[in-house]
Amino acid sequence: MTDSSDIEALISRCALRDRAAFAALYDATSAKLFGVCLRILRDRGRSEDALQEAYVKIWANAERYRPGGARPMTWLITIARNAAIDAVRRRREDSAAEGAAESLVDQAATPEGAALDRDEARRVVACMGELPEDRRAAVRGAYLGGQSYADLAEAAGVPINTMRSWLRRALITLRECMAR
Amino acid sequence: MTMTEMDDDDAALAGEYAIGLLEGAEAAGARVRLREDPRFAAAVADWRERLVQLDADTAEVAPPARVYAAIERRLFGGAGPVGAGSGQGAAGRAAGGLWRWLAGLGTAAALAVAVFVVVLPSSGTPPTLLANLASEDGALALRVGVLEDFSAMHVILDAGDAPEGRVLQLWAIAEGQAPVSLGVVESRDYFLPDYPRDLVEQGITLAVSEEPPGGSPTGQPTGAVLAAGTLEDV
Repeated sequence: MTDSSDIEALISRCALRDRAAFAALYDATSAKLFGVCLRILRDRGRSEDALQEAYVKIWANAERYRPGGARPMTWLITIARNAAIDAVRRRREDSAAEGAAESLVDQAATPEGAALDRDEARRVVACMGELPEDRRAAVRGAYLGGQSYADLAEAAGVPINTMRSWLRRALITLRECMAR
Repeated sequence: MTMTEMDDDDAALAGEYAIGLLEGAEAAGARVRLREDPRFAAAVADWRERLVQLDADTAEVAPPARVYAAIERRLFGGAGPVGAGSGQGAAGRAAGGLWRWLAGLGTAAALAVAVFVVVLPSSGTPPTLLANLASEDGALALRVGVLEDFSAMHVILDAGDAPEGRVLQLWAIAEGQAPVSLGVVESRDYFLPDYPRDLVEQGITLAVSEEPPGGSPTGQPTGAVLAAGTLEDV
């Protein structure tokens, strides 16, 4: 499989409008990104549309990607995830259009050399295990399932405000655990 | 550690933002902070880098071929397939390149080639290597070829020009290496006998950027890269 620096190089070549590099990037990463879309949308047709959106944005924004900043797969997955979440939210309200653009713009604000050591990043998995079951389910539902506070509150049978304070507490606990 | 420097409220907010949980005014507020507060931006990036680890278990599922075809149509118009599992992509592209090279020769270009035939009979043919460089909107288009006997590169500016007060500069970029200047675009049609022959070969990326008059002062592109293409066998 293509490793991280190869993917980084392909993104850089996309920034130079190299279509062959874009095709290679798609070959190397689309299965993962399609998996991310499917996980959130649970519908093949809509996931195909979201994947299409994601790669159009990847091509259009490749020059914003900074090698040495976010890890390349993180950058790609964030774009795919946001495309899928936009598709979910668009169903309910029509205010999602901004969402996708914003997720890309913020790459520019990311300080250089910010990428975490991979082992350190992985600590989140162990720290998730330390959360109480219902809080862990909320974080997973929000991140992996792309669920909104309203979705999470409904699933757990609690008011939205309660869900929000649960989730914020869970994030703070995670952060403390990861900093240990 | 970016995370430990922030208070809990901000760290949680950065996490909510990274997950995509914020809506309306709160999302807009976070977006502003992201631009203006590097620590907040770093905290969001940090959360993303960590949370993405939860994706490790996400199954990879190969999307159907129609998705790539649709992406290509949207990005590159009606052009035929380029790579992505299409073994014939490169061949089709090269043939198309030759056709465009021949069909696209305007009077001036045809004249230039004609003159060239006289001066260098052995190389009065279309180039042996050719790159089509076009900006996304098609406003800027160049063809850059290498003559069959490698006596020169041939540059034709088919459409567009440098922005007001700027010049166009050509670059050759080998994979994983810094761009090497091929000089400022001198006219709409010219030959470049002096070019880095060890570098300019099939498969290399050629790009054009906009630069201050006289060309990039640093030896590397300083302005926007406007178009790029791969040098392919004709």
